[in-house]
Amino acid sequence: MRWLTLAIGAVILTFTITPWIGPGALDPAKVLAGDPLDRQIFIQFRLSRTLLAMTAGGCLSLAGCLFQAMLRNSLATPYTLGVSSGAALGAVVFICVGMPAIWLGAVLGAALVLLIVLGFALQQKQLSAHALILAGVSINSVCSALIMLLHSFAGFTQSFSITSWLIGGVDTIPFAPLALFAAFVIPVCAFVIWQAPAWNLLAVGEYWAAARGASVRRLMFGGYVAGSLLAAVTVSLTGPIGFVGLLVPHLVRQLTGADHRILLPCSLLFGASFLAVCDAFGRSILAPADLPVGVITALLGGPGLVWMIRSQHARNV
Amino acid sequence: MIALQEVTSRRGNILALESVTLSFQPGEFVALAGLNGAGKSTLLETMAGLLPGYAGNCLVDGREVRAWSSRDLARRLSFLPQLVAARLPFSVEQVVLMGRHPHCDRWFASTEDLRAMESAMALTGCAEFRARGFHTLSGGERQRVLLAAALAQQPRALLLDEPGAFVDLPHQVQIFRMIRDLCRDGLLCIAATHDLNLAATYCGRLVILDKGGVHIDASPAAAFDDPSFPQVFGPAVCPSRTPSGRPWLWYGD
Repeated sequence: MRWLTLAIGAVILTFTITPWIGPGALDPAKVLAGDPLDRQIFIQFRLSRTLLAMTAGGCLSLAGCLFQAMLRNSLATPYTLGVSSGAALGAVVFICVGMPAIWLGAVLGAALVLLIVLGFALQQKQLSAHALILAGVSINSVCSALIMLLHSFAGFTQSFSITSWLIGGVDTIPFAPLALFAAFVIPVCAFVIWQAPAWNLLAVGEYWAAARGASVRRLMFGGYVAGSLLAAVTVSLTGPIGFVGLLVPHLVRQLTGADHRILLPCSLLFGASFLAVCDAFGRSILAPADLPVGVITALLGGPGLVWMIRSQHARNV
Repeated sequence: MIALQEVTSRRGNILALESVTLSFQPGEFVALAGLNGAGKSTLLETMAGLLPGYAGNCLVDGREVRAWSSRDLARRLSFLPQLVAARLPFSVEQVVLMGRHPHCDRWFASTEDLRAMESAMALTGCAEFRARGFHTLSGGERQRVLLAAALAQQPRALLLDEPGAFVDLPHQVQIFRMIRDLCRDGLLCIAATHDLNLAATYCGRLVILDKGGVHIDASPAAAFDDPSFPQVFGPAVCPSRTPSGRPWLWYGD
């Protein structure tokens, strides 16, 4: 419980502080007094961007945490099961064809992969973690091959936008799609957290869960669809931001233990803070250059994970 | 309480159980023995509803096991699988409380759940490491915690796949004695085991499987005396009696 309180505190703190960070100092007094320019910068640019970063970070780390539990694989990420590489492929196709709404391409690509996998899975009696991982790995490799193919044919400007999309980053976003994004993911997150006792059982084993009265097949389907939706919708707005979904759940698990009733909400909240803070760094550290947050998370994430595993190892031995 | 009629079950292309007919009543403590690959685990998993692809009838309380919802089934019988590897940092108490899953509709444990957890931990002797992480325990300690979870489920039938695996001798004896006492109060327990002396000491009935079929189904003493006993176990184990007359196996020459 104290970790949950801390996580809520972190989110509130992040939300009140990070929008003020960035190139060009904003004067809080002027914004609060209603200066039209400063106020517009604050709300349209900083606030929307912070909210997008927080929602995306929360969704990615919740999805990562969920997949790590249901696949019993600590290396699982929101992207392991392939739906988000479908999203990336869709986005790249739209960029190459020159369609304006890249996010729509991503949603379509993700939906296509989701339908293919579910179509295959429905024919199977069991939906095992092993089969899901295999399917995800093969989808990932096919999609990334197709992306490389498209990339090699793309023109100079398209190539640039493909690369920058694939790095992943949060940008300013109008409030209408942001609200839509939130309205879509909130019920999915609620479902995932509500099922926490069942994820606890699955994290121990599929037979173990079934013998404690959990409907494993239904849970695997539900978890697969929910986690994939969270990852795909997030990726369609931000591109595939790496490492959040791996690093944050691991870090939080070190603090709270493996009980998903606490772990899942804490992952969601800390993930939200983490990505917003990373993005605040990214836009201010080399200002006026705007580093994509995907670069920051990967730079922090790689060494962070190694450090974490080392300290974990040191404690266990 | 559990009745199998002509049950045949496949694992991949292998016929793991072939027309097995058995029935088990409340209050029995049954040991399930046989060589590796004889079908012990398949039989337990079929009765636990985990292998719905069987042919024949497998009835739990008069109803086909695959027709039960997993929750209703888990309130009646509790299955402890072989090799449960929880690598995530769950505490011992959390693992034991998982046994309460089929009974509770709430998110957090009720006082009844906590009471069931306490008594199950006391029965299996794992209260002393209750606050530790499950992943930090030794193999035998883990096995006792998993058994505690299966007991906290408060089933009417307990299906155990090698409950004594990795467990030190005093605790194996304690576990078998504890289960025997629970069976005297009406619990049905079917335990796959390789320790036939332990089975002969505490179980009232010994079912020996061979190549997917029931080879011997008798009391331990009668099973040891059965002329076909050496056909399964070969010359390396010699059925005999202790000086006090209990059935006992000697090893080797």
